[in-house]
Amino acid sequence: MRDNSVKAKGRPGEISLKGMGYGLKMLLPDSLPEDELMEKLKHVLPRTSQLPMGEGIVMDLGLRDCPEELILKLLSRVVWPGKLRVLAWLSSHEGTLRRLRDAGLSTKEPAPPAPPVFAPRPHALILYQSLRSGQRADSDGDVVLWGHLNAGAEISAAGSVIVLGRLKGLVHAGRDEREDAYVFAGSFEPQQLRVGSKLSFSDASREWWQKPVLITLQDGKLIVRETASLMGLS
Amino acid sequence: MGGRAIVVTSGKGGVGKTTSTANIAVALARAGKKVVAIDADIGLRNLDVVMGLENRVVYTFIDVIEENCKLNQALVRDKRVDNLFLLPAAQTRTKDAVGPEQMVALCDQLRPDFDFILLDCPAGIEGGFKNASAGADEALVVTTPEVPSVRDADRIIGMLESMGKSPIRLIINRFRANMVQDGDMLDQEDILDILSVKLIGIVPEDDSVIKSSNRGEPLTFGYNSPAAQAYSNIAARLQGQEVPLMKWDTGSSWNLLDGLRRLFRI
Repeated sequence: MRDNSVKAKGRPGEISLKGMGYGLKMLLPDSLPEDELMEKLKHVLPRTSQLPMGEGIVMDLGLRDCPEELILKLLSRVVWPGKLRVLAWLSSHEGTLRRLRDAGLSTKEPAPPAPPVFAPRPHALILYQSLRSGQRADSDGDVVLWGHLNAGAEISAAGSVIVLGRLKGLVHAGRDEREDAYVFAGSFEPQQLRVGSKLSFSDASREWWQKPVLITLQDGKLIVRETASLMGLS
Repeated sequence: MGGRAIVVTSGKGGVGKTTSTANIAVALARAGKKVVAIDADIGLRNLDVVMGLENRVVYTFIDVIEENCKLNQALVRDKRVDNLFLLPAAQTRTKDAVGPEQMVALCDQLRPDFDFILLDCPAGIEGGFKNASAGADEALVVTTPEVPSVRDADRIIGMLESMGKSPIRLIINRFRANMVQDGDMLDQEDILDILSVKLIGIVPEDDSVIKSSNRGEPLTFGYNSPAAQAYSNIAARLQGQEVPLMKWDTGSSWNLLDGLRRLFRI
C-alpha cells in the first residue's frame, strides 16, 4: 500500500512538507502521539533524501511540548540518518523553545532569500542619421541606425545592431562575447564584421554583397541569410 | 551682416583645395565681389604662389593677430582684378601659432569690408583644420573621385556638421569622364550617395590647372578651359545663380572637342 503520510499540504494528524523561500518546512502535528510521530517520520526520510543538494529544512514542532528525549530522538533517528541540513527548529511552546535553545539549536526561522534582481536591459540606442567616417556609436544595449554606416564609421554594441541603410563601416555586435547578438544590414557591404568573439572578412565576391542580410552566430559560426528569402520576398 | 566666410577643405591632401580657393576667389572678384582669400595653412603656405602674389607678401595674418601690423598692411591686393585680396600665412611658424578664437576674431574683422572671405584650409583634421573652420560660416569640401579622398571628405563633413557649418557643399575635382564611363572611377552619383551633401560643381581633370598653378595665374582670370569654366560656374552658384552642371563627354570625344576649340581658338 502506498504511503501517503507526507502530503504536499498538511492535513490534521499528518506530517507535511511545505516549500518555503529558503527551502522546506516540515510540520510535525501536535496531535500525533510520540511513537506514531516517530513511525511516520521513518517514511518521510526517503522523501527528504531526494531534496536537492544543500536544500535546507526547518522543523516546526508546533505546540507540542517536546521533552529533551524527543528532541534527541528526532536528531538521532531523523536528522542525522537523513543527513538533513536543519536550518532552524520552530516551536510555539515556550518550554520546547527553551529546550531547543538550551541544546544550541537555532530557533529563528530563516528569512526567505531576496527575490532575484534582474539588471534592466539597457535601452536600444536609436540613431536617426547616417554615421560618417570617423564617427562611432557605442551602446550597452542594441543599436538601430536609421541611415547608412559609411566606411570608416563604427558601431560597437553589447547587444544586436540593425543598420537600415548601407553597412560599409565596422560593426561589432555582442561585444561582451554575447552569442545571441545579431546584425541586420539593409545593404551588406562591410570589409569586416564582428559578432560576439567571431570576426569575419567580406568582399564584393560574396553572393549576399549589397543585399539585405541577417547575420547570426550559430555553433560558433557566423551565418549570413538574405532577409528577402527570410521574409518570403522574391 | 557682413561678408560670407567660407572654408575650403577636404581632409585629404593634394585634392585641389588651394587651386579651388584661388580660382573661385578670382572668379568671384571678376564678378564684382570684394573677396579676400586667407591662406590658413600656416607653415605650408601655397596660396600666394598659386595666386601669383608670392613676391608681394610682406606681413602675414599671424602678424595681424600678434599686432605686429595692421590688417590692411597684411592684405595683398591683386592688381590684375579689382577687389581681390590675399591674406597670406606665415611660412616660418606652425599651426599652433593661432587659435580658433583668433581666427573667429580675424574673420569678424574682415566681414564688414568683404563680400566673400575664403579660407584655404590645411589638410588633416587637427588644429589647422579646426582653426580654419572656426571662423567660417559655410564650407566647400573638395574631393577627387577616389575612395580614400571620398572617405576623408566624409570624415570632414561629419566634423563640419558637428561644428554647425551650413551649408556644406561639395566640389568634385579632377573628374575624368572616360574613366567613369569605363567603370574605373566613382561617378558623381556614387559620391553623392555616400556623402549626402549638395554638389556645387564638378571640375574636370585638366592639364591647364597645373600650368596655371606653376605660372601663378588662376584659370579664372580668363583662360578658356573646362576647369576654368567649372570654377566660374561654382563661383556663380555661390552667388545664388542657377547654373546647370556641365555635361561631360567621354575622354575620346572630350579630346576631339578640346582639339576643335584649340583649332578655332575659342
